[in-house]
Amino acid sequence: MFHRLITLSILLSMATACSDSSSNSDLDAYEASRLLTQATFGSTKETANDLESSSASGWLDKQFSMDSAYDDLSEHHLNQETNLGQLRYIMSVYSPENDAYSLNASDEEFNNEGTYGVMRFYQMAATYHLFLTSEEQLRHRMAYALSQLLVVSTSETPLSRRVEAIAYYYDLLAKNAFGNYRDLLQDVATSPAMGVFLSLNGSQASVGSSSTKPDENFAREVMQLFTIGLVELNVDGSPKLNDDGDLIPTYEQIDIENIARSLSGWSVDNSSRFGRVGNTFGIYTKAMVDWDLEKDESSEYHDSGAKTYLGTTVSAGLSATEEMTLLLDTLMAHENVAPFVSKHLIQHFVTSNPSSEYIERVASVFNDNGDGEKGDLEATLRAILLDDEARNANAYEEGQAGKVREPFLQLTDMLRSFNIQGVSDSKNVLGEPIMPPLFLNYRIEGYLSQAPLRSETVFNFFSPNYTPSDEYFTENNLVLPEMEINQGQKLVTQINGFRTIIRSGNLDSDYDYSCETCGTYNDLLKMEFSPLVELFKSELGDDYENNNSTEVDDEGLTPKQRAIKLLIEELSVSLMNNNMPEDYVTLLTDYLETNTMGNDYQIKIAIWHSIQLLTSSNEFKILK
Amino acid sequence: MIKSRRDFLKTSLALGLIAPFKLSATASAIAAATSNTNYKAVVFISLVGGNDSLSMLIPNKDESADSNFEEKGYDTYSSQRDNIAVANNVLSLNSYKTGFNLDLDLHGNPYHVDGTSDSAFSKGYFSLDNSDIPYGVNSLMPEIAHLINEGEMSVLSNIGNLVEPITKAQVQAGSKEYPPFLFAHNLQRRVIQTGAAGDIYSNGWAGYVADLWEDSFSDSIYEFGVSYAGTPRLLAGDKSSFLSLSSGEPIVANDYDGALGDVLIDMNTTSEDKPLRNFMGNIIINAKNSFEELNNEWTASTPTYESLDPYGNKLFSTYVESTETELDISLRNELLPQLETVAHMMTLGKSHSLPGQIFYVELNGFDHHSAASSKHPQLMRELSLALYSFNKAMKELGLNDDVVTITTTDFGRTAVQNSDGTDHAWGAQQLIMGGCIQGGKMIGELPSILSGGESDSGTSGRIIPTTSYEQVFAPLVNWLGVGEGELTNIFPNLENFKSSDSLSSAFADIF
Repeated sequence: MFHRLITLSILLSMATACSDSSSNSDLDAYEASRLLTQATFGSTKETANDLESSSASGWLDKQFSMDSAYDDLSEHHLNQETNLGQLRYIMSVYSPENDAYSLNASDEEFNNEGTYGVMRFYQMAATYHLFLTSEEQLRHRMAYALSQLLVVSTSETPLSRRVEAIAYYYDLLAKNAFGNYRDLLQDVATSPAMGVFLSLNGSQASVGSSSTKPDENFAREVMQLFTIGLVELNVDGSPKLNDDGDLIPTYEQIDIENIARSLSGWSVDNSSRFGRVGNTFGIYTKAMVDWDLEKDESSEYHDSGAKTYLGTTVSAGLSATEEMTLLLDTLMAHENVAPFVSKHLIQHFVTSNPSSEYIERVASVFNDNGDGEKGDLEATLRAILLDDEARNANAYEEGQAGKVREPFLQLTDMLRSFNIQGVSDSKNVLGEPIMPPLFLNYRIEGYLSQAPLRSETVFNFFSPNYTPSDEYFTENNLVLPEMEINQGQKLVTQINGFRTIIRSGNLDSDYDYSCETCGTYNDLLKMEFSPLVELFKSELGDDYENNNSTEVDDEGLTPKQRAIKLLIEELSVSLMNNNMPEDYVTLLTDYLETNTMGNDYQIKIAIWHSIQLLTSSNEFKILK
Repeated sequence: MIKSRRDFLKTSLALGLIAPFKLSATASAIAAATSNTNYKAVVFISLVGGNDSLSMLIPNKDESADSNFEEKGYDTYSSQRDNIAVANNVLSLNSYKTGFNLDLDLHGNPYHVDGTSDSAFSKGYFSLDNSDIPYGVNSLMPEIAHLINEGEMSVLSNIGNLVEPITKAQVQAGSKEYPPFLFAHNLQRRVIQTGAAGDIYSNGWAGYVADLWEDSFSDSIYEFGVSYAGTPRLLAGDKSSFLSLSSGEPIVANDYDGALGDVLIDMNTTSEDKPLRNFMGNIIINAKNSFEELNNEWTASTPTYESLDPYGNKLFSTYVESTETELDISLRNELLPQLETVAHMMTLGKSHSLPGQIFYVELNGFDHHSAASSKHPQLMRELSLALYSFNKAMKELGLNDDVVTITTTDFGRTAVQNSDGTDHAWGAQQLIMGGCIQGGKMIGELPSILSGGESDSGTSGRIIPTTSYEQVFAPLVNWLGVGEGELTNIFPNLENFKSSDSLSSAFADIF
């Protein structure tokens, strides 16, 4: 009872403090770390220290105005801080014998071998490089959130081999991350990755008496999943209802058929024929072409007849390029886009169950950034992250706040917390001893049931509407999308995957990183735990005999107890937003005190176990 | 307080009328559950993406020779598929088998032409000699043709999501209700699983049964619902949970069998009123505990089979290399290991005298808008091999009469092709297998497939179904042991399909 009273009074005082919080006031250590957990690939001690005592809006200003690798993509393939540039750099270093992977190779020559299976892992390494090391954390976090809305994946042939298409596509997301959604849609719709993934590439008009029809795949998903969704929405994200109280569909099948006609005539640029894709031909690192207009004026792959969709009439005689512009303008003008995109982003950055007021505040900024511009993603993201529902940790009732974190973001958080470094894979046929470090995580999908740009289908890794079979959530109509891949055998596999990475990939282990292990597809990720070991040892005066010392300090702690206390404080900063729950502290302390810490290795094992426990805890898996 | 999504909808419809409907229903169904003395199970195979069932089961009747098949036969089929039609080439199953082992020495892969997927895809079909089924089976699926001819399996023709029987004129006039968001993958897949084609919000129909039978599973690590593909709506109930597993041996969380495991449990146990943290904690504790127990039971008994697969290998063998299938692309090896695991799990469920179970498995990759003739073969091949092995396994385990296996898919695909694939449509053909079903026949109707014809909801051959999924699922659930009185709660549209006063007149004729 006494304990409960204290808890309540603390909560009350916190509530008072937080009600004064605004985006311009200074953040404390917890708030700083919490913002970084929402908006980056994981808070680190350094980034949290930097942010502490500055403001959330100040941090955003810095992120938005940072010099970016994406400011100028004129030498895209040479720019190592982009996905494609990093991929090409890795390929050029690791396969110097192959001209197709040389940095001098043209877009058309690059990867014209098309059969290099390991390249998909190198492309993932390029993604890891950006996510784990880039200063541009918010840009990449936004690009990653967008990649789960505008989904493409290596799951569609031949993209598993043509991963440069995936790298290039990612760069389009990152380039437009703080730009305008309309520009992003244009880049996405005409990208080879999307063209292949949703078969817009090669879709052609019905010809003569043939009953063949234009492909409806992209025509449908560009509406259902990328812009307006299935039903008419109010600006607060709630569905509009007709006079009978029914939902109002945003489009009918006939709209899709006519949009499919409108979108016919696009092809990956290649020198052979319209729509042809494969491992060894076609250019995947530039936009698709309007074939009739740009490649062959005698061809008629585009259906240029008059058509009507979504209440818009398109006159006859327009090119595929002109019709693409018209379509995307029409979709962008739809009232649904703002609540649709806003809710997706809120769910990915802040909370699974935003209030309708929160959605409306953000959607209103999407609709008008203050200068009359619709679709400004920078302004939208600022509105999302500076909203009181994002910044105030007590803005919601207990249980309705926050979200379950994606397994992948749990992983990057852990990796960044312990100074993750790539490993030199000396697979080079020339046997050169010095190679650039790689973040190789061959088994990421097996561990996590997800990996960036590797979704099985266009419907992403989890549904935004998933509600678990639990009375609290069903009764309160709450969704927990990420829970779909955080339970059952997938959860166990994820816990074991973390264990493998914690144990095998650290600087101090005797793990063999040499070329002998390269061919066996071992993950090459190494975290640095030696500072924690050193911290522990120094508290023992670098003398393990002191484990048994009963001499106590001012707080009544023996050297071993003091070392354990400091270790737990460090782990709290690293993994618990500097806010480890009291019961965790007690449990970990009790556990570690029973451990024998008689040498470096035993200390390391204890540290591994502690990190395994913390990353398998409900507190770690939840973002509040 | 709102009780559930299903009740929420009911309540809103009833305008505040308070009906403790579900409580009385639960009481009656518990009686039904306990009367089950015999383990029974349903295997629900989802062919994710929308299977082009017109390439799997080819309408093969000659229209000019028999006016009964006008707009329903081979001529119409092939005229609408310029470059992805299966050839009108009748293959004999008998010439390829010796006691139904594919004769590999004679280069006997029936689908082999020149070692490409495309040529195998369109080579021809097996006619179903022992029946009058007006479909032929794609040459990539000799095992399916064999199973149908042997009476182990039947074809469900023109099944789809329907709220009530509907004609083309009624679709166009909007004078009858049909499912919302037709042709959208996720929602059509979902309403198959809610058991209410007009309702995307309901729990799954199997989740409803699990809620009814919750008491029968309360002291067990086993559940009524078992998924090998994530968290399908099919298994979502209000209060009952289901097992979410992966193929193969259930894997335990390493390092947690001793003191460390106790700390893990304590960390994830909280007495505070924090619903999200409590829920996540329970999920973690559950994963640790139940997988340890499951793993113990699993490893203690492993079924072995004397039967061989069609290649003469052990059942459920997977072919990483394409040498044996002679297809360009390797099999996904997704359904084969799932069904092997399901068979093993069934032996555990039976040994615990569970009243019944449903298993959800998936084969992904069916959304062939393009390159259909190179991508569809590997999926048809795996489906064929997997069902063949599963049938053999069920027989050896003595479970064949207690298990029904059924395929479903998001929707059928257009009878009219696009450049080199097909688009989303409505009705489709499915397969149903089991020792107690009526085998070797076509259940349902053969529809017109003519573009713009009497059964086309629009202009590209999006065929209006003539049998609803609920008409198939309801007799299955009834067979599992749920009384007819409960069926209209589980399948609210079922009564729309009655042909007489009896509810069972709505049942598709599967038993």
